[in-house]
Amino acid sequence: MKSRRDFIKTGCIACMGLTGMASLLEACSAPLQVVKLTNPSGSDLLTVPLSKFTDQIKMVLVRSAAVDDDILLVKNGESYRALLMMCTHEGVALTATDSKIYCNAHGSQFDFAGNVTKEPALKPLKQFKTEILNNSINIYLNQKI
Amino acid sequence: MEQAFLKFNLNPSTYIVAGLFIPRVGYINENHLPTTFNGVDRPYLEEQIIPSTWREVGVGLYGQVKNVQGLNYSLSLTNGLNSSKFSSAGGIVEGRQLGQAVQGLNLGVNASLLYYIKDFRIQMSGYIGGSTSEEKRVADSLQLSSGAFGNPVMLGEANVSYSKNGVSVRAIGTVVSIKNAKEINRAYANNTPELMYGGYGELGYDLLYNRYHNEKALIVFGRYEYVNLDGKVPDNGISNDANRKQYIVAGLTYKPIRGVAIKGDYTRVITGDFNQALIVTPFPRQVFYYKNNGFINLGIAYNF
Repeated sequence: MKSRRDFIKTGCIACMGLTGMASLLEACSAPLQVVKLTNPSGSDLLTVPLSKFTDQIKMVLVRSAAVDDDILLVKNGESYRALLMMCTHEGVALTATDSKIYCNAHGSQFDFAGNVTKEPALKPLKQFKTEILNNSINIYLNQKI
Repeated sequence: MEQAFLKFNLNPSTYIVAGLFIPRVGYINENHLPTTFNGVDRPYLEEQIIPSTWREVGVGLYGQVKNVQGLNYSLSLTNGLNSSKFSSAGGIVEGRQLGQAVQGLNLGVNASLLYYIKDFRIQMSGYIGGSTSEEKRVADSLQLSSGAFGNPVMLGEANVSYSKNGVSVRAIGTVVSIKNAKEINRAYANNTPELMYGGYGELGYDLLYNRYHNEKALIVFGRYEYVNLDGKVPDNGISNDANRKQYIVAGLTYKPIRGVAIKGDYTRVITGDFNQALIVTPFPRQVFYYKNNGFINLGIAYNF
């Protein structure tokens, strides 16, 4: 690289390329559906319609003011797991893909049962009790598993 | 102290940090806990070129891209580097200010994209920062450009990791450009290089994976690294082939439980010839420089 201008030019081209790649990536990697609920802070119960899950959609991200971090609701056979998307190492928000849950702060990895598969996290993810009632999935925030 | 920062969540997937923190550069800089990498020493490229653990004072924004599952970004603004501490054998490592009596006279900007897809982790990051850590009148007397990005250092890197069923693979490449190395050398006579670059590839397999699924692990691994601290030397610098290094590392990492690792490795270091012109007053009993040397390393690691 000969000059700061060259570096900035190269950087901008790289960023544009990455942006273009991100657009392509959208096609490769369907976004994780986010279900936003309007429950206020302090609520103990979140309700997610069963219709959010299809043959293709096996997990959704639930977001509500009632809980500081997102909850990953994962279909597990006929039941559902509600995993708090907060790394048990240092409390950073987690990223879910089709195969794993990652923490981008220090590299911890978890499976969809909430178990640690890679350090430095040592404890499994917090899970909330769920129940299927009236075509909805209830997540009980005051009942941890 | 390694880190001390305030974290403010803008929403569950976006947060700001302010204070002494670790920008996202390379793989080991953030993922540096000794139970999380193979080998007793950290990968040499990520000690000598990407100066892990690189922490500075500033602010950072971290988040997840809404419409692309698995895509994360970061952007940070920190204090810059101190070029008076650069060197031929050490690169920019000693130029980090690390939040200790920092001269807040320049800035550094770092940005990254981190993408998780299936079992892959893919990252690209860049850094540009000023390296004149002197007041303008002092910088002028040294004929160094001053200001936020005076005598800039630019770093770019890309790395990819894969792990599944006990197999782990990682590769990284990086390049550092110090375009005003000639002026820095004139001011400080520290033989700053103009260009450094390198890369490594590592392959590991957990022999106990099928039985214990990471509860216990016995990882056999191999890694090859190329580190060139003398990629380009300015006119007033002195080239030293000993700064072009290859590392071949092979070993075992045993984790009886998560959080504890017992490590052993054999490291072969192969360099070019040491430039004798760098020794101004040769010691009568100078230690012989070995261009091809092997080491056995043993270590115990834990995290809590």
